[in-house]
Amino acid sequence: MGKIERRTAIKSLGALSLAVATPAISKAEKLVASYTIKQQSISTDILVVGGGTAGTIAAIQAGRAGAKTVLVESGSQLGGTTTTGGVAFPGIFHAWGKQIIDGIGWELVMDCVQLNGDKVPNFSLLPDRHWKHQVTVNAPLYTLLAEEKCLEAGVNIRYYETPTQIEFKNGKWEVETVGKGSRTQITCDQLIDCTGNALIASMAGFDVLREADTQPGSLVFRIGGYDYEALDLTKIPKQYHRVLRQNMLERQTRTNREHTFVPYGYVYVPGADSTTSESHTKANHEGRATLLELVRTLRSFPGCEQLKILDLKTETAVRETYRIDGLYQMTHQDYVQGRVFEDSLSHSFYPIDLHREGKSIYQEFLKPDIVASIPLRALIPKRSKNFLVAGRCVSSDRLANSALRVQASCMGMGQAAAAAAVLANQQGTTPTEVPINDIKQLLEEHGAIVPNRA
Amino acid sequence: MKLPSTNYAIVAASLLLSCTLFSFLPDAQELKYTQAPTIASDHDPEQSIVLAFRDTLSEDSLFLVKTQDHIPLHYFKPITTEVCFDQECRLLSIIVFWNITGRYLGFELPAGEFLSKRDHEPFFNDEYERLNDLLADPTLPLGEVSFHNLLERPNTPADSIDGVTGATTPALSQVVVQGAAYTTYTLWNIIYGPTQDLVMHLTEKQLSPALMTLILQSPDLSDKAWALNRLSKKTTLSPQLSTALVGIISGEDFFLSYAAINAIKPVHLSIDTLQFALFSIYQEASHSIKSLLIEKLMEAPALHAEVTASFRKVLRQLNGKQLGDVLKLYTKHAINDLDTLKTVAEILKNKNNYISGQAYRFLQKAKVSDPGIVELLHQYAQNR
Repeated sequence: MGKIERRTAIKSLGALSLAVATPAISKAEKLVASYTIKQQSISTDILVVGGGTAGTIAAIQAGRAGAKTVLVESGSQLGGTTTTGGVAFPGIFHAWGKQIIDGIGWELVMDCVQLNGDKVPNFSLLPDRHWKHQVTVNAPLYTLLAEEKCLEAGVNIRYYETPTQIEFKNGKWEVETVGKGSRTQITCDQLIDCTGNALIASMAGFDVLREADTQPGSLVFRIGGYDYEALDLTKIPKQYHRVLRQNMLERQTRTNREHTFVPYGYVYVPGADSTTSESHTKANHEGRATLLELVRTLRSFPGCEQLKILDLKTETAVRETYRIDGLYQMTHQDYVQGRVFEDSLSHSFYPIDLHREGKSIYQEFLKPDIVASIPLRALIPKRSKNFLVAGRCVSSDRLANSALRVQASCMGMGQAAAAAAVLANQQGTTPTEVPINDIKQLLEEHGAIVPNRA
Repeated sequence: MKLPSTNYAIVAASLLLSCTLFSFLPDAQELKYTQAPTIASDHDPEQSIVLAFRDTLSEDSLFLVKTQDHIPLHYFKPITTEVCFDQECRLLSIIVFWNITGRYLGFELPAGEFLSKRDHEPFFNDEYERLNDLLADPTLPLGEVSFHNLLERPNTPADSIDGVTGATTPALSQVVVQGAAYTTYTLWNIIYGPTQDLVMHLTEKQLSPALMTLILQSPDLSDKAWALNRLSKKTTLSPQLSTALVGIISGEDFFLSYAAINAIKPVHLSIDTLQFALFSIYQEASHSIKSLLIEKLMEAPALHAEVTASFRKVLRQLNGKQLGDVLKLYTKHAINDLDTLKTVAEILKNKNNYISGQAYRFLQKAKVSDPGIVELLHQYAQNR
């Protein structure tokens, strides 16, 4: 067979194959119904809005205590600051040689440590730097375990949804949420706002507060592709030394020889606010633009020509936005003096830690044997019923809030708020009316450490 | 642990301490500052056995002090160096002591010897005490910087103790004795340098269950953690060592409990009494220690029947998380006797869905045939 003939034959075979296959594929194609928004109504005992640090723990606690629980999260995964924000070293759970926050939050952290083959720092030794008692967790693993624990507790997780309306009617909260292809009316007996921004409290008409100047957010990343030890730092402006050093894993090795490292760097995002899509988009834009500029600048330095971004967290993590005007506002003095209230339900142990204009950090450490505690009243907005908050929007002045906002404290608050909500639901009342010892007992049954309980 | 790249050799055995320049004799007028010893001993110093190890890298000798019945007590190393200030030098002799775990024990200055600051001004007592406290802190940042970086104005490259003048940086002035930055820096780096690794290595070679038990009784938490980290599957768990471990696990210190639980290896769990002890601790333990204990028991070659029975008795009092843990333990060890299954089946009646659901899933996987349990499962499924 000549060349042309042969080519023609092959071509014909190809056409034949196509003819045989095409009808089958085309038969699989069909017109589908137009995209519609699915409308539905569901009812539940407890609704938790926000699946971040506090909300995840609150939902697990509510589910484990036997309450029918719905968790609404606007993103795609649980964990918030720890996972999506990339601050994967929660703390602080121990103070002065003793554990002060246990329960579901610590359980989640320890499960991560165990399953990842890590070790925890020696909490018995007082650290020279407070962060040495924070526990590095594998963030993806945290995400998986948090979701597993929620599902095991029977929590109905609704990702990609956000509330648009809220109304208190006949002793129940009616919350409308929208999500991808869904519009849902959720009726609940008790509501816990774990948005971190007091978003639901504000929507419900309760007073919220905001400082004229809030702390910056952080966009967390990791860089590599250069040898810090080999850099000639005299040829690199001093303000860049920190960012280059911070991301060297060797530099993050903890000196107690019993812990893993904390590989991360961050750029500040002034005024970062995750309350709305627009404000959070803006925070992400600004953080990413700052980082991009930083990377371009760093690559211009000798020894950094091959510098590259190895990891970038999904979104800018936020430190401070809104706080509720609660039945009690925790003050700076309450915090640093370790005041224990009759209705204290959880502890907090982190220094006052105020990031000021992204230029300096005001820190104030607690004196020996001092541990702060958080009263139930700081989790309840004034004039509210069947409503609690947990997380950084806790009712507190700015300095107290700068310490209360950290993950371990938020986990403790999440568990405490859920225990109060569950009992209020069981007793057909509002959280302020639940005997405080009932809440403390339930918390202890679920492993939490309650202040001033032997 | 990484051993320093130095060879050592035993150069002498059974030296009498009284023959050394580094006297422990009570009538010597030495200055001595110490921390809590790992092993408290009221042994007669004159009856001590002293072994010397030569560190061929530094050419200094390291001495081990033992009791007559060969219990290692501590190590010490004599150091002689020049102290210079403004070109005026004098020889300084100092002895540094380590506990057998490598933890700093103290220092001693022979009779007539003293430490000095700038201008050779002698230390006051409170400065010796301050130095003793600083040297006991392994977290000081003195190992991360060169001495010249300690100073704001390095003036001279001299290497002798306090031969360098210049103000210490504000941050580091917090971690040195004022006026004696170089003394603090040098001693701290000797204490936490290669000799510390050598000390630990030498003790590791002598570790027996009896010695480990003694270290676990140390008043210092880091000593206990040191021993726990060195308990291996080859370590025989003597009754005394087992008792010491159980005592630590049931104690109030979370980290030590955690470290002690981690220290137990699967082979040790073949000892029934240890399993019973862990169950006893479980009943009173905190939330997180409970989980760790169950995880540990999962590593046991087999769960002792009496331990299974003991867990069965408390099953209905557990919260949902704890119940889930114990049911996982049962699954791991294929516990499916009728008594256990019946007890779990009773939990199906619990009104808490999280709790009853775990019982349901466990029984479903167990593929039970007992008619009573099958009926309870059927009812549960219908009422969900």
